[in-house]
Amino acid sequence: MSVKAVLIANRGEIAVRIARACREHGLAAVAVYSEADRGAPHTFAADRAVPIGPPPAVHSYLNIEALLAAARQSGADAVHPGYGFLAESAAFARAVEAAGLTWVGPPPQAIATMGDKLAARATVARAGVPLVPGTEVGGGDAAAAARRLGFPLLVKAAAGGGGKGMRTVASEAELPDALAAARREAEAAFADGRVYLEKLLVRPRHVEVQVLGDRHGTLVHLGERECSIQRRHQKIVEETPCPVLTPRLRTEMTAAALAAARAVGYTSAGTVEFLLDVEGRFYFLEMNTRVQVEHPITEWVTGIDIVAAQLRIAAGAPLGFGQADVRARGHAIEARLYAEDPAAGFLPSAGPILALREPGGPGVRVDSGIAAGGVVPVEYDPLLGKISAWGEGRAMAIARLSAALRDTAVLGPTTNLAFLQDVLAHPAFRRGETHTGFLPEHFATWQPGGEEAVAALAAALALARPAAPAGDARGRAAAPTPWETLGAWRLGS
Amino acid sequence: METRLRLGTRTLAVALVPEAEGWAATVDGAAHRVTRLGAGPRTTAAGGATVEELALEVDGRPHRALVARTRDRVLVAVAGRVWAFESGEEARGAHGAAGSGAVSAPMPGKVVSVLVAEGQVVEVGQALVVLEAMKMESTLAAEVAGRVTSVRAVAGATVAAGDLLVEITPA
Repeated sequence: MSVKAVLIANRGEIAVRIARACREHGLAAVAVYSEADRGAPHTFAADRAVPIGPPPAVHSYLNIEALLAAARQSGADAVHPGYGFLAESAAFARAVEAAGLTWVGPPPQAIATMGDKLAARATVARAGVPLVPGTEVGGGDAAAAARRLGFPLLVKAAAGGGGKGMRTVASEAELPDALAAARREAEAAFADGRVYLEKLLVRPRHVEVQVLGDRHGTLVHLGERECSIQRRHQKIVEETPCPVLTPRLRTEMTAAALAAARAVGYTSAGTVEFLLDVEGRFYFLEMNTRVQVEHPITEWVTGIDIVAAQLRIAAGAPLGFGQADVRARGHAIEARLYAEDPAAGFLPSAGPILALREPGGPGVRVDSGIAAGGVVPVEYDPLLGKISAWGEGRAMAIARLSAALRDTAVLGPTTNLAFLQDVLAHPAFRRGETHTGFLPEHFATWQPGGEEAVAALAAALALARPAAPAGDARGRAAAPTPWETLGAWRLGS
Repeated sequence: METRLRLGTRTLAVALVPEAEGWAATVDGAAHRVTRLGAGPRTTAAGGATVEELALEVDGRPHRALVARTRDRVLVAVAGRVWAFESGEEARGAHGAAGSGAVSAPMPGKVVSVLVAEGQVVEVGQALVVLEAMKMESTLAAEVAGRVTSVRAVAGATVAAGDLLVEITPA
């Protein structure tokens, strides 16, 4: 089996990232784009780009027929799904293989098993992996099951993800309504109304383990990532190593992750997610059967290119190294740059990007999917890119990432850039005291601030000066804007 | 003489008097000295916006600013933060004036649920409508206290940016 041309069934920063890996390894990269993404950076990162349909994802990036047609038309012999969209669709993986193409990902059956939360729990439990105490809710006495678990607890959807079909239940009185609402939401979102109960852990950390397996029996882990800084069950800051993991706990958690992966015959890159409680007990949460958004920080500390490894594994090559060859060095942190307003309930933002400045320097990496002059479309996830930094120690990594974020500028949609800097500067974050409730606890009433307001104001008014005569000759808007009249009046008086 | 600029929910009183190499600035009564150190080329961005990079010194501290001016706003990035200034005389963008009871969709999306009914009395901050946009659910809350006089939002319906969802008559 060989791979020569890879169709990237995705958009944004991850499509750019995959195209880079293809180029480095002498593979042709084929981008796909919806009508909303014509001229987007990911289309230029590839060797060619194929249109796949109208802006709504269901007609383009989620359209299996259109993607397979694009692969046929472009002569691609492999498909990399990235993350999101169809990355965890066993049906898509099977359709790719049925079309005679190579699927850059795990076996479809592993995707299917891990995608069904109840099947995943049963499978990894048999492999000896600890689970969050929980129970399936059939037609039986849910209240009795809930009492055995104890309150507070969570109602979760079996087919769930992204917080959909999930409810927190503080007491038995709230249980019937929560069950009904979760079932309704799960049925609407996943066409599968099965739900289960899970004990709600107090101030847990989200700690996950990266695994990588080839088709020749080699399966290794690349250490852990701590991703506790979350809003709405979605991560915004991730780091490795986890600040509180002892060598013994790391050994136990990575062994459990490998056992979970082995239980489904896993190959390619995957992530086993755990919750770690305050007493140092850990519990399996789920397995993400794809490349993870936050994979760069693992690449920083291990020096292993995870996307390139996925491509090699898909082509049937052996991984080429073993567990003893994996050595982590230093500390890495990633911040996700989102077009959203953290001061307004993280409301997403869209529109043209008027100006953009990306950071650089030693130990700084930018995975970007946007460009000045481009547009953030309303149809897709508002992730603009990721900025990550490496340092010999955690303090150095924080300092470098903070400096990099300070050097970044996005003018156009509202972004979470200032919020990210304030998270990194928070004393509790500096002390490594992170848990999944960190943002609600410390940042619920966050407002943007900063001491540079006067400089910003002066800059605003400086630009409001009437433009130089040469600028006039090139033609400006006929009617003066309020800024021009204000500036002329102010600065001329 | 001074002018007023809106910055989020704040209104700043600003005066800027030219000097040899910059300006003497007064912001809400506090005096600052601003020196212009240099500027990059002025370019035109999407929608006719003017973009320029400026080097300034404020009270002796150097700052680098990236500035974009659109017809009704000036966006300034300094030190990893963005300030969006609106002229104080202008209405507050497309979502209706600040503090009005007209609640409209900030962007295209789908109405997930409607949490209020006509005639209901609501408080400031009370959740009115849950909207799904860009794959995220967002809750739109009341900016004023009052009585809900009309509910245009329907669960499951697709809405465009600016579509009126709920009207509140301030108490």
